[in-house]
Amino acid sequence: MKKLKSKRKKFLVRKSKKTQDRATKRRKRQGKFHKRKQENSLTKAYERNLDFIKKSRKDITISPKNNLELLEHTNNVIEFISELKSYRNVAHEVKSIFIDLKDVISIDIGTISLLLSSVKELALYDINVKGNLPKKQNTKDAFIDSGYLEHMGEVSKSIKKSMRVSNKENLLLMLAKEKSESKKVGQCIKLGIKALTGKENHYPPVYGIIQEMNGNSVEHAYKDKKHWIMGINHDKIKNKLIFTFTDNGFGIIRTLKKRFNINAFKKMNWHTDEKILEGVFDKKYNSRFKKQYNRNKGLPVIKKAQAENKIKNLIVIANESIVNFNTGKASRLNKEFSGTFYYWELDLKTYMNGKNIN
Amino acid sequence: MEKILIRVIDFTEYPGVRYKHQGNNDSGEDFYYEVIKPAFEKALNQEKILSVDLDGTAGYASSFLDESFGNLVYDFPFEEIKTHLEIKSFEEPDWIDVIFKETLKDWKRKKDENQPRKPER
Repeated sequence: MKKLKSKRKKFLVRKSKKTQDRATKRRKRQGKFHKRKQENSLTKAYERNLDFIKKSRKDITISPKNNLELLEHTNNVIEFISELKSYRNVAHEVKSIFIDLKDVISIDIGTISLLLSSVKELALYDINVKGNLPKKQNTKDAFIDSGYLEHMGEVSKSIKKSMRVSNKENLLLMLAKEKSESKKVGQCIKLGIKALTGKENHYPPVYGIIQEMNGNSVEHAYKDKKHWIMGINHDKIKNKLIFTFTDNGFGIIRTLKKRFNINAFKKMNWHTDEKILEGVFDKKYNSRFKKQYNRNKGLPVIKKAQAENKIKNLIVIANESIVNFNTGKASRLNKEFSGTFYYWELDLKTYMNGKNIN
Repeated sequence: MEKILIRVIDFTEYPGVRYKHQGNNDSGEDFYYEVIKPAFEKALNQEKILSVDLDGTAGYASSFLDESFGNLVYDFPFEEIKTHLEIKSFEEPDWIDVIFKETLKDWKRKKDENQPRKPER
């Protein structure tokens, strides 16, 4: 081939560059040039980052303290649950969470319900949760008898071997998203009453208070990933029902602080969060907030059910506060529970009282 | 006066919460517009009392009853509501007092101050 002279070569390079520039200008005019370039670079950057994120996601192990009875060791339980729930905020960094319960020596149904509701919440963020059972036999039995394992996603072969036949009626768990799910709530309560009395029946005081919690949850609690979880456990030995309702949203106190100025609380002598939580269940709270004449009546209805002995042992945990309506004690927790948790009981005597049966 | 009787259980066995968008066609808002409002209008036109029986359902949230009956204040004269509405319940009689002594009065106060019946979302 004939070798090009340098002048000719330079001319051809200039010409091809001009052609390229014209093509670029044409694409710019058509709005195609930047978009394509941008798309390509963004796609590549995303793929690079995704790869990096996948490789760097971690397996987390959480080991709670030994005593996890909600009613006796509330701070231990809330610290554990608070740590577990915190991983929803960094879900993209977490591959899986292993809950190491082998050293736990005591637990109650309140804690088991809180634990299950937290696991359900993490599942909404695509976090895989696994775990083991306590080594101590009666604590392990408490887990199995509660029906906890029926609601956990995966159960290992070694745990399956050690399981006794567990009665699925021990624990009913219901997860609802976005809407109130009234029919399902009513049907779950009927099943609970059947376990308690032998016969399916409505129990309006409990249905009513769950609907109050339900209404607050769907209206106030969240921005996104709305959900709430209700649990009903039948303690066969004491023949009582244990109810829990977990709302993994903002929590009563944080919701109130967003809606009202701090001076509104000071005017009512609610100087601490515990006082706010206690006070908000009081009927007279409603009258202090102008322009909300027909609202804010749900929480006093819940307290009234306890006061009239239609339910027993009502406890409410919200953010950093806990109120025990049975003892009348309100106190501060060491760690924040992000959401609102209700616990209450119903035995046969209380049920008969609530139904006006003598 | 003669009565027109309606039962909540004919609308739903499982009354929901306050607003339509929060439930599955079982809210207080649904019950008001589908049942209470037309029935009350009929009762007024026929010079009868609308009698609402709350019994037989699973129970009530206060917000369901508040929305079901409170809305009457925005659509009908207050004095007519007091004379043409009756609530019955053997299972939960407390709700009768709540509706007449609190709900209707709170909604009247809201209306008198020109507040919208439903806050903006």
